[in-house]
Amino acid sequence: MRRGGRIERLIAFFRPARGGSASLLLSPERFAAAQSLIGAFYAVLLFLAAGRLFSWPSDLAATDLAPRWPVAWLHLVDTRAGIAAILWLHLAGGVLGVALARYRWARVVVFVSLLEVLALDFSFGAVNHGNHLGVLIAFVLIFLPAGWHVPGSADRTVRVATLLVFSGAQAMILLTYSMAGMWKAGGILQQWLQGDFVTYLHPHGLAQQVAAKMIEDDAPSILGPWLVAHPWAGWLPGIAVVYLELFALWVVTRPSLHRAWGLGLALFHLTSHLTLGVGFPQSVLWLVLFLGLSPFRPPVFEWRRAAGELPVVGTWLGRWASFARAPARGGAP
Amino acid sequence: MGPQRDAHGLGRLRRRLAILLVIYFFAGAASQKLIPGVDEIIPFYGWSLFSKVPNDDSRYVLLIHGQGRRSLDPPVSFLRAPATLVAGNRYTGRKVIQHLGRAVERGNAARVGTLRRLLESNYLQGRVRYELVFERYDPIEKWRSGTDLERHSVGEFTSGEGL
Repeated sequence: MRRGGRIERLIAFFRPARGGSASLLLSPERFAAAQSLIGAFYAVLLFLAAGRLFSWPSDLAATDLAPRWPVAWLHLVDTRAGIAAILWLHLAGGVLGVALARYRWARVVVFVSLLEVLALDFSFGAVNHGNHLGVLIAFVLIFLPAGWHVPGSADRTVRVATLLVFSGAQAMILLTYSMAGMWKAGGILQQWLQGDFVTYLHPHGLAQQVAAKMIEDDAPSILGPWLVAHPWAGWLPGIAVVYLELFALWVVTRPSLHRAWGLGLALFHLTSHLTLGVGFPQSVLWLVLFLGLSPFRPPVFEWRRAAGELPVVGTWLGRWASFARAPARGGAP
Repeated sequence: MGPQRDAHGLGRLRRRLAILLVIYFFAGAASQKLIPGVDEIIPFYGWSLFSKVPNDDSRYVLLIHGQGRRSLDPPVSFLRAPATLVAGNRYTGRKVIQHLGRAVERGNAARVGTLRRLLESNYLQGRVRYELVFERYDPIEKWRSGTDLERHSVGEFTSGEGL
């Protein structure tokens, strides 16, 4: 009985804020879906490690580095030998993830291999952020329970723990977007206080950002010149991006919004590539895998429920959706 | 005892995941925003990307004036230079140029030396003569007409000289 109470409390924490199923964490089908998606994550890591082989010759030719802390040990060894060790570890991590992810030690090696290769990439004087999420997800997946990989596991605790860790990976992904949104919202306030006229809320805000980036890159993006010529077109999309990012973490406990937020953020990356020229293709993949295909999402999309769970405007939209449905019910013969 | 231990274990797992998120949030924000001169402490990052709309913006441009005995007139910018002059990932190289420009203007000789070595050994091909130029501009206006609000040379260098 006591066990039941604790698990119910755990489920209550995860339960959607408004209605929803209390059995999400116990469902064998959702457990199976999470297993497949985690397997797909490790398969993609091997694919990326294999693709990296193309750049091994140029990586090994590097002579002058400013090593980041995870590869600070490169100072102590021959640079070429050290870089070779990191590249081999990356490849081995890819293979281990696919072959032995059932073992926690193998998942630790995968995480370390990704951290090392990421740090190597950023030891040439600058950092970009397109590959961070893979490292963070790999870290969260270290927490998977023993037996997570067993198909159709009858162990209720393993199923709950696996789905909890999966939701932890979702939360880690969404947290990074909420942090990005938080800085943008803070940036709007700070710019107002500074007396800056153009912010993300200004009709020209996004176009101005795009123009600045194209000048920085000394090259036009695919849709950038058009957007700068029609700055109003970016007004509402710019505000929508701040909304999507800022409230991303809100979505973790609202499975009816997982798919919409995952695809929405993926779409945001695609459009930011077309306009700003900033691509996050790996993040698009993780968003689609972990949120677009979320094992917690309802089998059929219920737009009324999803609208009612939207942050800030959900209460109002939920009432409107109920109101919109009422006459149809009343009018039925 | 078994089932109760399982339930305790799940509660502990949930707490660990929550603590992990809280640590990432604070460490990420701190690593980007609070430690002077530090972009981030990998893999912690604050995710402040394009947080403000630049009402007026600025950048450092690297102009290549020549390579070896060959002079280039007009000079060619780092991002538009042919592969015989510039190698490696230009996106990353451009960021190094921004750091270098700031270090030169602040008179930080040690950092200038480090960044020049990185730039010249990883991104510039051979003995290249180059100039760093600072530009300040209204982004939309510059995109449309090419005009700057301010433009001045920060310094001229030759690969490997003065290091």
